[in-house]
Amino acid sequence: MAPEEFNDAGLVQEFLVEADEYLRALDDDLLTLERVYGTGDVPEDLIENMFRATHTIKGLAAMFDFDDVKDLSHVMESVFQTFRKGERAVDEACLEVLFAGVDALRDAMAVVSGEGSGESSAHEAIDAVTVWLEGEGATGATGAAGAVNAAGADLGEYAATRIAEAAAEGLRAVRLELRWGIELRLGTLKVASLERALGRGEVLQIRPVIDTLPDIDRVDSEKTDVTFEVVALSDLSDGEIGDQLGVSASAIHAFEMGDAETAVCRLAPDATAVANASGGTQHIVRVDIERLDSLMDLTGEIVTARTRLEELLGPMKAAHRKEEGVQEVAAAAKDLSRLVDGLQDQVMRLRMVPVKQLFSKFPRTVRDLARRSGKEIQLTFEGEETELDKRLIEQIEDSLLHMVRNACDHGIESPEERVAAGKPPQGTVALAAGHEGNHIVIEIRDDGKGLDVGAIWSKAVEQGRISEEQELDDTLLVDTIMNSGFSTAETITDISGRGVGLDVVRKKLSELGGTITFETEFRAGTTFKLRLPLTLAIMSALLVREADRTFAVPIASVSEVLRVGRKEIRTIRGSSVMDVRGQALTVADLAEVLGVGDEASRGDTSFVVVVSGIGHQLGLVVDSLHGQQQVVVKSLEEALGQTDGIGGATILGDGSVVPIIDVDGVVDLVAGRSPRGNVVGGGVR
Amino acid sequence: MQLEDVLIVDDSKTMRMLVSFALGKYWGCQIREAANGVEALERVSERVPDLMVVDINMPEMNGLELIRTIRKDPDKKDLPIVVLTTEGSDEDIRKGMLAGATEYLVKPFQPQKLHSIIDRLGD
Repeated sequence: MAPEEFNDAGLVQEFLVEADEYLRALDDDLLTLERVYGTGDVPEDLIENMFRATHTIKGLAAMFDFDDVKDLSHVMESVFQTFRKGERAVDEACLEVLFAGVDALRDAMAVVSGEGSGESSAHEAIDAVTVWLEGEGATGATGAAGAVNAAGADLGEYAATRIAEAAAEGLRAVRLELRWGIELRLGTLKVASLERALGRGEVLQIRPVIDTLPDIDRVDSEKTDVTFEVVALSDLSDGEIGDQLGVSASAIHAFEMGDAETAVCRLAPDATAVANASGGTQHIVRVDIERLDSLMDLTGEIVTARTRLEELLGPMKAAHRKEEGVQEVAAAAKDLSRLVDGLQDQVMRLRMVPVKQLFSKFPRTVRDLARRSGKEIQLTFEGEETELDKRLIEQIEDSLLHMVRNACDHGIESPEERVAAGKPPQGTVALAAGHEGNHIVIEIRDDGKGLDVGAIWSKAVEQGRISEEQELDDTLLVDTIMNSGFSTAETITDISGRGVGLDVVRKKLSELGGTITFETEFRAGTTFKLRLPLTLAIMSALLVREADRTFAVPIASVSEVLRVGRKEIRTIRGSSVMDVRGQALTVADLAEVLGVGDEASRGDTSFVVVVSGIGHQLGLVVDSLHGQQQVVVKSLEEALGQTDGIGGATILGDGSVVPIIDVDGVVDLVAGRSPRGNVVGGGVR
Repeated sequence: MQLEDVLIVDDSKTMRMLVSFALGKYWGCQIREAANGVEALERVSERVPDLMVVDINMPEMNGLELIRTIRKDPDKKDLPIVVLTTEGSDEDIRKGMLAGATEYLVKPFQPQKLHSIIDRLGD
């Protein structure tokens, strides 16, 4: 029974985080093992790491009484133990049960965290692993543990291993028979003094010689003597050891290893690895992201206060330029400003983690997809060290997974098809990350068959999305494949193509202030490009006034701002449009779109903020502009629920709450009102 | 037993936290942590603790090697070292005691067990 005190939420959470790290490492290591086991050259530390991972999970799970996790990690540990001991070789069957075991552990962990379905697959996995353990090739107690030496001592695994290593260390094995008073309780057995008599050596095992044991009912701890057989390593001669211990050298026998030596598995710790590692310890503090969030919030408020201070100082500086005090205050404010920038930068950096954390989840997925579909797919990474906001990573994981699945399922062809098309049988899916200005770009590239524009067109016509007269230009192509329910997969496979198109991905990215674009070449492959802000917490926004309200428009979505006369906006077939350099641009009153006012109050001139949604551009008509500002993004969902066209809110320096426009949402609102074909001026960016 | 400085050596951060938690009774003491034998030796060289709680299976340098290394120093032959490990077979316990452990506690452990061991160490 594990103590209930441990079921403290913080500790369980800590366990879940740590276990998740081990599971990821296990996945990676299993993939490596799968690659190398056929070569017969399996790195020892690979097995050792996996052994330790399952071992640690087991120990922790036991502390919390998580039986499924404990039992499953225990049988998996046993598998690695058989490899360590050299009792079994790695084979395909065991890789399968281990992979399934990792999945089941993850499921069981989800159940613990309350995220799972409540059904743990642990028992099936335990059975599968057990079947492998008991299956053909299982040798039971052979190898080192069962080795018997010529001198008659049964060797424990540790002793056998150390003896095998002894010669290399200039030590030799000895067997001694010593008589001790019954200080049998191990706690009082002074092994340390015995070891001192062995010079540089160590005691490997001590066992009583059975014949000398007294009958249990006649034990008198004061009088009974027992003879012990000691197996030890030493660099001293028999005589020297005898002198040290005060016994005759004849009681000391050179130890014959016999066949045991060859049966010992390779367990020797790598001395150089130990030496190297000792210098490279990293000091890392793990912090709950909630705390980082509140730190970020506070920093955001400081940024806001700073902005307010600057606003107040502006007119003061202008009016009282010559007064000494004002200059000093202005200088101090400037210093503060610099420090706040630095603080903001550092706090942001705290939340940044390498995108590797995200990418590392996919090799396993790709492997499984490839196996199930009979394809050969290699997954490559570029720019894994690129950092982005931890929250962002959490948010885009599912989207990226979906795209990787798509690439494997719909992009990469079967080996036969590829060879017929003059390609190598193995397809490649590449995940690449990098920076583009204040954005991070993640690309999902495949060298598969590319999008079949013809098929997409036919399907779109068939589904009535476009008319037969319409050509599928880039805009429509993007629009079509990213729309809900659109899929060209001929049969709904297990892998993807369940009719969930890229629309989910698109929506998610839009929520996050990102965009998705793609390039495709028929028969050569497709590249999807996700463009995301570096962080979700702070964004640059253009503040606009409309219908006596202030709104924030994310700068990332603004392509230009135009000053227009009222007459330049015309109504064609129910839609407002204006001419921009010879192209028609759909425009809409921001207030009207959001349903917060009308255009009655508008003067003769106004501003059009041109924003880009997915494949569309739209001009938002507003009354006036109030400059660009860094704003702290607060979610509205918790307070207000999802509002179409509004992505969040921010608080300005004067305390006013300002909605942040969700550009894609607004574009959708406008498009939903207009006939689709009328939205023009877009393009695949 | 008067505890002022405890060194917890375990490669699992959660397990170190659990032990810290279990030592709550002795909360006044300073708790230092190390993730493996090599780090532990560094911590010990900075300052010799009043008590060490040591896991066996760790990367870099395992608990048995750590204890053996510590016991080679005559000044530290009486330093109380409690082995805390999942390995609970007689053979494992023997190995731990042979290496020079003062006490042996098998995971999962009850905090009271650890307390009573610490109390006993003071006797």
